[in-house]
Amino acid sequence: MSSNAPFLKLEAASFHEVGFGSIAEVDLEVNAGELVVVHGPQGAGKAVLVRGCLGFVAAKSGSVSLFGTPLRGLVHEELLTVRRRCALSSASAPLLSNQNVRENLLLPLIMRGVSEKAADARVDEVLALFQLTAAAWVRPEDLLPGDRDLARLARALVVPADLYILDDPSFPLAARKEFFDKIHGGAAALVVVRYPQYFPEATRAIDLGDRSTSG
Amino acid sequence: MLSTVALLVAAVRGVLRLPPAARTVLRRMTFRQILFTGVEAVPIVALIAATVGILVILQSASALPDFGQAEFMGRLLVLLIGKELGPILVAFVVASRSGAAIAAELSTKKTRGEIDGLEGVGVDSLAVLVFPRVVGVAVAVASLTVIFNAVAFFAGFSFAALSRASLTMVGLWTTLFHAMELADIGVAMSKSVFMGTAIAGICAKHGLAAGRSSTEVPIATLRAVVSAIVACVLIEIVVTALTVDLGALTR
Repeated sequence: MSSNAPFLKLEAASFHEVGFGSIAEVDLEVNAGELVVVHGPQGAGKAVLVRGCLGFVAAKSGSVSLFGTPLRGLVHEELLTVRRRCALSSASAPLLSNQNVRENLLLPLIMRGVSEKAADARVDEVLALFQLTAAAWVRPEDLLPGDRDLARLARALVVPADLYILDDPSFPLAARKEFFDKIHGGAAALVVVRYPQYFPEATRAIDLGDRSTSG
Repeated sequence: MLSTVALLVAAVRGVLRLPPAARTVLRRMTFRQILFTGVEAVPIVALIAATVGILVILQSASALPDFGQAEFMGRLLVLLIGKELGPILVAFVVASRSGAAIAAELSTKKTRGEIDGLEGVGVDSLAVLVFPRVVGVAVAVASLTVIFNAVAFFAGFSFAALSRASLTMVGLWTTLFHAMELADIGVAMSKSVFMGTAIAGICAKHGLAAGRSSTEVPIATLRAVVSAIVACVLIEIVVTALTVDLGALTR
């Protein structure tokens, strides 16, 4: 693992997963302080790309590296070590249904060694940013669909990660500011959206429709 | 079986890597599992225990004197109820009740992607979802076995004392305690802990092996319960074979 290595690097990576579609030969690099936007129409393979970046689906060909560590052949424990530096928000990876929103946000913090008191304070702060304070004690299943998406995004943002991988995020204004503060502070993000206009601040934008790169 | 052992080892390693604050959360999850598997199962376990206790003790009390073996009744009850029937019947109840629940819950989480959601924010799903269930079920099976034996003996002795004037509660309990050895309790508890660990481990393995289709939930649950029951039978046979005095059978 090299300290100067890109946070995320895909070289001619192809993925296929039943239920999530396929995507072929993607080249992608996300470095510290960068926000890379991948956009494309429905069915372009955005969901499977997000899953492939974290090793939930293995690349059929090509390679995927997180923080300089190739994901191919890693066992669960090794995968977890690199995933610990990441935070994912995706509709394909929802919150735990048997815990309320607050517990869902507390869990990744406490599992990273944050004290209960500090974790409580951080969760309160993030819930307020996402205007979810009133929904803190509600289980995800009982939330409105829009709030459920926000809660998922809040769980990713509550974590002090190096790389944020966000599938179709929609930030409230205050949370958006905190997200960009993290990027300016040296974190990186791969954001997957349908329309790139949502993130004009992107360092690079990659169009899965015609696979052209701009930025 | 090897994959279940590998899963358990991975879960324990995951817990050992966790910071101390995280272990407090796991302890809470384990208590919740003990509550569900142990405390909530007490009524059904007590009912089965009372039935088994009454039937076995009544039959023994009526048949053994006919063969001139009445003095061996205490030892027979310790071996039959305490060491053999208690652990295995409790394990069957727990496998069909909590084992099914664990497999169904974990396979549902898997099909919905909740486990990917956890791992996507760097949480070890095996440490959080498997370890507390395994410890909770093992503790619950051992505790339920103690309750099973207590209820079985109490119900059986009460029924026997009421139905036969020659038998008294004090006499029956005295016979039982004289016949009981520390090793009997050790064997029964070891079986219970092994069975509890096997039930939770096997059911977690089947639950986590489910794919993304919701039709896999009932399949995983069914396979988990059947495999857990088979594992409990094997543990019962192996531990009994290792601890029983086989030489006595041929004498």
